[in-house]
Amino acid sequence: MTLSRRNLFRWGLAGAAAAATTRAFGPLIKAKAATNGQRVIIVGIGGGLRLNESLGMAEGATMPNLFGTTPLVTGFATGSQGAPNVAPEYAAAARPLALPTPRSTPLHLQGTLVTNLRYADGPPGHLQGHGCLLSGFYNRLENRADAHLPVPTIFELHRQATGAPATDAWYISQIGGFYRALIASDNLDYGPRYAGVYLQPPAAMQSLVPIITSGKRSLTIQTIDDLPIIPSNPAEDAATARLTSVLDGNSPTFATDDPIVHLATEDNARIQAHLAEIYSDSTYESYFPQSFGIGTLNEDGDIDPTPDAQTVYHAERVLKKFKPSVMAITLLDVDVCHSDFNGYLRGQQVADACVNHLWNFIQSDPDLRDTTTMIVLPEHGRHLFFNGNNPDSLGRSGIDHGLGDNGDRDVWMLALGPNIRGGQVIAPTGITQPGRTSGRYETIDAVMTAMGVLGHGDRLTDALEDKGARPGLVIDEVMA
Amino acid sequence: MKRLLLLLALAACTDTTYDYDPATAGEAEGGTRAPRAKTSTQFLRGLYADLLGRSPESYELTVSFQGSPAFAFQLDEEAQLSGALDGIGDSAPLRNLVVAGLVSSEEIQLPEKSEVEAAAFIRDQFRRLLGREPNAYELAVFTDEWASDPAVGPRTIIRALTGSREYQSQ
Repeated sequence: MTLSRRNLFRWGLAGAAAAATTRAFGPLIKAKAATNGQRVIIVGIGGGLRLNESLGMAEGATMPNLFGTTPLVTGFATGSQGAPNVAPEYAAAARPLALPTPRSTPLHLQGTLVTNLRYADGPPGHLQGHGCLLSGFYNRLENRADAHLPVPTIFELHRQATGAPATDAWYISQIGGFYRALIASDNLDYGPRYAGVYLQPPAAMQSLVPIITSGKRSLTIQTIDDLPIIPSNPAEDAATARLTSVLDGNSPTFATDDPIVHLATEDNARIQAHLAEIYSDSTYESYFPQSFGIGTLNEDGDIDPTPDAQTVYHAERVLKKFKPSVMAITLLDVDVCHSDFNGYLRGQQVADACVNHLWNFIQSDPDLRDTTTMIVLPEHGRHLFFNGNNPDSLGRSGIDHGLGDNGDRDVWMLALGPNIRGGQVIAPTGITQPGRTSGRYETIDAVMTAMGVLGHGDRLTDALEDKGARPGLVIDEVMA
Repeated sequence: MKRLLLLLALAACTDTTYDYDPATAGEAEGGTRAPRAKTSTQFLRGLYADLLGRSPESYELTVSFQGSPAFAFQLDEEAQLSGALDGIGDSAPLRNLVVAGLVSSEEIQLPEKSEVEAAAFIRDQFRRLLGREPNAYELAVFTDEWASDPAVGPRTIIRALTGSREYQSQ
């Protein structure tokens, strides 16, 4: 990275806008005894992504890495498509995107693409949509910080079934707020004691933290070594942990209904060591390296991360360090569509590049490559009509979501990995189940399929039926 | 009019007897209520008061780059740090790192280990941060560690106390 005036604090400032191993902790312990050795990553493209623009390519090929350039559903565009149709006045004013060259063969050819998935029930809202992706439960969660799912999350199911530590189950979310509560349900048989690790990189990973804690109110930067850090001292960390454990041994544990999730000391020690690596990096590359290659180009030619890019970069760091069995990732750049249709198209390009980067990263790691199943799907779609916000010269404007029309509910699912059949584009119909009116595979089926890969399908079914909910089906057609 | 209504209400009560349960505000001395964790802002405000003797502030951070002024922007310590802490489900690891940063900062002048007497320093920090004296066991362990481990010094004592569940509880 070239040190420049502009790039010094870009990630910290991005975080500001969003918010307003050391050996000291002992060796990394992988409690894998009861897992089946498989890993699952669910990538939720949050914010609402329509079939029209993604598979239909109605505005050009917005997701070439995943889907190539030829529409995969009918009714929107025909023939090979070019770059996304961004309005000229928008393109002239917006910073250019930094995107790697798309792969020559789209990813969907490596796996199975279900083009007619249905988000069949529940409000097409962010919290509800992602609540469904994390539990396989159509829900009507209230938009409140203390609103927990009544059924166990995939993190809780996995940890209770396997005895795995929290660091074996991660939720990496681009967005915070209410999403933080999705890390644990209020189900009495599960709950916070089986929660995973929630991490919101755009908020937590920001260079302003060491600047603030340094106490400096003016910075004189001559070289990169002048940037404030939080010093990492493994010996001091170990001693601190020992003394803290003496105190904690003599004090009552936190209330079981404390709204703040409390992980085990060992989990937190590992997480702290991971964070310490980042906050003690004087190059600030650990917050987001230029080599990631996805974001927007600033005036100096450097890449500023979008929130989705920063989220996926840190998801990869977690994968590399912890090799978790379960990970869910929430992307959200496309949600600008409420008032920025052109930004929505660009957000799809970023999401597409990020998912491709993530898959390439997984394939480059020998531990992850042969054990990881990745399922990518929109949390829901968007309305079939424009809302009139911020119209462009091509007659398009913002699009909302939430009313539940077919634009809101018709989505797709891409499954990749060693357990997944390759080279399929399918749209199964005639799917039957008591209570299922769609006749199609649904969002809850994607979650059931993922849990089936981990061997937790029966548990998920039991947990849902206990609450009177309809469990998803394993999508047999995608399985190898 | 209000006075009249009040008088009427009082009059209406004269032939009725009410029983009240004993007041139960607060916790009985020695009660066993399980603690709840401080929120991020509660933690930060307490930490800043305890370690820096002030509240979190908003100020202009100025940056000079290679000898010439580069830029300046407003920084709100509480908003920035609480935002970062809330970006993790259990923020204890990042809270610990925030403390590690503060005790190494220019704003805190901690004495060198050789400059202080262990037991006195430890007692002072217990009183300052936990509001109590260390019990005999705690004092013995802390002073033993101080004597036997070169990594245990003033910074470590403060980090251990602020990282404890007792300090992190409301």
